[in-house]
Amino acid sequence: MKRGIMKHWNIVVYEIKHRRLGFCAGLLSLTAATAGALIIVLQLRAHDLSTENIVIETEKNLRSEMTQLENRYRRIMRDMGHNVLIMNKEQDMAEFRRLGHPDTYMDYDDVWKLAHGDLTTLNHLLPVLQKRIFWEEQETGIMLSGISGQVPVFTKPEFLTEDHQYRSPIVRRIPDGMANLGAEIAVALNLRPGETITLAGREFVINRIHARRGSDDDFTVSIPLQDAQEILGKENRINGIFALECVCSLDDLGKIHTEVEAILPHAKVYEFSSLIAPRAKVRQQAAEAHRRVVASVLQQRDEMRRDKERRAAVLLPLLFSGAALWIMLTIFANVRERRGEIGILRALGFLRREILAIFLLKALLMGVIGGFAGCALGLYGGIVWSGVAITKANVLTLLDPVMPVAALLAAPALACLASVIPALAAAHIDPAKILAED
Amino acid sequence: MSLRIHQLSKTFYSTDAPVKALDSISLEIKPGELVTVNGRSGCGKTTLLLSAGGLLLPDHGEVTIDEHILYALSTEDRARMRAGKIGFVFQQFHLLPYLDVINNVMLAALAGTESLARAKELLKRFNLAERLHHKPGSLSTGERQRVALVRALINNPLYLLADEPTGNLDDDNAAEVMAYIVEFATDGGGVLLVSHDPRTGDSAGTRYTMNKGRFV
Ligand SMILES: Nc1ncnc2c1ncn2[C@@H]1O[C@H](COP(=O)(O)OP(=O)(O)OP(=O)(O)O)[C@@H](O)[C@H]1O
Ligand SMILES: [Mg+2]
Repeated sequence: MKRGIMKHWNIVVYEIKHRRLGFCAGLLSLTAATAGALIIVLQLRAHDLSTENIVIETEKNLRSEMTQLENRYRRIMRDMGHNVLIMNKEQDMAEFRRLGHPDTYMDYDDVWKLAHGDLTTLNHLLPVLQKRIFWEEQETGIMLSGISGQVPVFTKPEFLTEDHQYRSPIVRRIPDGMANLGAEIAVALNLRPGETITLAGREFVINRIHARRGSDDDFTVSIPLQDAQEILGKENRINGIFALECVCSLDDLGKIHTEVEAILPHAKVYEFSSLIAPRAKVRQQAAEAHRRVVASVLQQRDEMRRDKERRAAVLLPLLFSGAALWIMLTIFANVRERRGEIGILRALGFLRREILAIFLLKALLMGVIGGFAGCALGLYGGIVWSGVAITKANVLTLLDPVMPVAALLAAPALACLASVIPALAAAHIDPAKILAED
Repeated sequence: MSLRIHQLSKTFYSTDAPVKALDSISLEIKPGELVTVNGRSGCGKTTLLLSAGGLLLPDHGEVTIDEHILYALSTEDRARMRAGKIGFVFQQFHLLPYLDVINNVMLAALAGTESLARAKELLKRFNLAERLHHKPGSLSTGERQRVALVRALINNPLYLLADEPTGNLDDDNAAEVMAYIVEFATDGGGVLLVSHDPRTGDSAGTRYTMNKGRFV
């Protein structure tokens, strides 16, 4: 048995048009519930998004602070001078301590091998040729130190100018024909910059007098490396390479030995003033402090989120059960005022399930329209009130296609579920009672 | 082929004394027959009609439509029986307020019949051709009565069960409606007409008078 032109659908639509108010009341509650739910969910998502942004921002700040810290350390390290001496493997260390300089030699080229090698832990290479001698012209013992300019380490271009010179070298090149004097020597011999001295028959103009350092340096006369090599009869030879060890973490300690010995198998490394361990420790402490900052930010945000979740956990069911109850009452009221209609439909041969369908279809329509309206409203409101900047990226992160789909399914489902009882009541109305009424 | 009512009884138990609305009523409506039941208000006419149409379960007795024992069928099968074989007209027309005249009529129409043309033809016949798209609210009582009649006839039922079909009509319209009901019977339909309107009594056919649930 099939109905003719007047399908149940038409009955539903005509009835809704006739009694708009009741339908709108149900519709409104569904729209509100759907929009409310979406806004709540969007608020949670927005919270997560801004947490993410805050953490990214915090970490960025911390990283720039770390970089600054790092640069400060590097400068302090450099100002404290070289802390490593590379010398011939055969060097007797007791002899080295006694003399104050190595008495074994390496080729000058070795420093360039290092410079071109794969160095990560060394910088500021300075080849030297040092020897304690008697300065005949002045009749005094000195430490003669031949130094060239610092040899650039090519794996660290950030410290170099375009023509491979150090931007801020630890030791400056001594110009040809000049010499630098230690403080004690200068005082003892009453020498000043600009005066000319004679050493092993060669004349040097005093370039500068070093400040007192409290070390052998105070008794040192520094001259260009080539002069020293000629004076000491060690052409193209050096007996040490000063370097600055730059280790970034405690784990890298010891790596320097492996690295140097891989490039120069006949050399060994002597670390004479290691600031590396304390530096790495301070670094680790700073990192630890930063981790704590991020963790506390995260914890605070987490508590806020749990708070919001708790509120959502109360609000969402309230919203849905409120809407469901309201729809149920609306449909019940509708059934009441349509009792006469139901009676006649049954007399005309409409089946119970057709009556049921008429009311459920109405609820379904309510749900679909309410779902769409709520979706539009909820997505708009949720984004406007999310508290995050409305950029394309943020909006795309906030919106999840699952949300509108879920809302568009949930609203009709809720409306239909809420209407089942009144619709069943309508289907089971006894038509005789109504039709006998005058 | 007939609609048979056999020893039908129905008592209503309300707050005070029980009301015997039907007391062993028997009658038969054959195709082409017009059965009229007259009686005072409250004598049980509507109760009889509802029971005959399968809408009100009697306490005793049987209703048989074309060899089907009506109350032996399920509720839904009785509904199908009504949709296919019975046309109802009620005292309170029960038109749907939100449907216009043509849609109120088409509401009852089953698929497959040439019902739209038939609906228009019937409405024209009952002077409602100008009212096709009026809502019941803007119709006179008599017009509503006639729309209800057309709706009852739209599926060309075998049996027409009419409750006061002329109750709200002036003489001219009442005569028109009665003429149609008579014609319906002449064309082979069975009619059970219950009314207290004496004008219905003029037509030929079997006539019963009812009092307190009994034929007298
Ligand atoms: N559902 C019911 N519950 C209780 N009593 C009922 C019910 N339906 C009908 N009655 C009673 O049964 C009797 C018969 O009612 P019915 O409606 O059949 O009378 P009627 O002959 O159609 O009257 P009218 O001409 O006024 O329409 C009345 O006394 C009525 O009060
Ligand atoms: Mg009556």
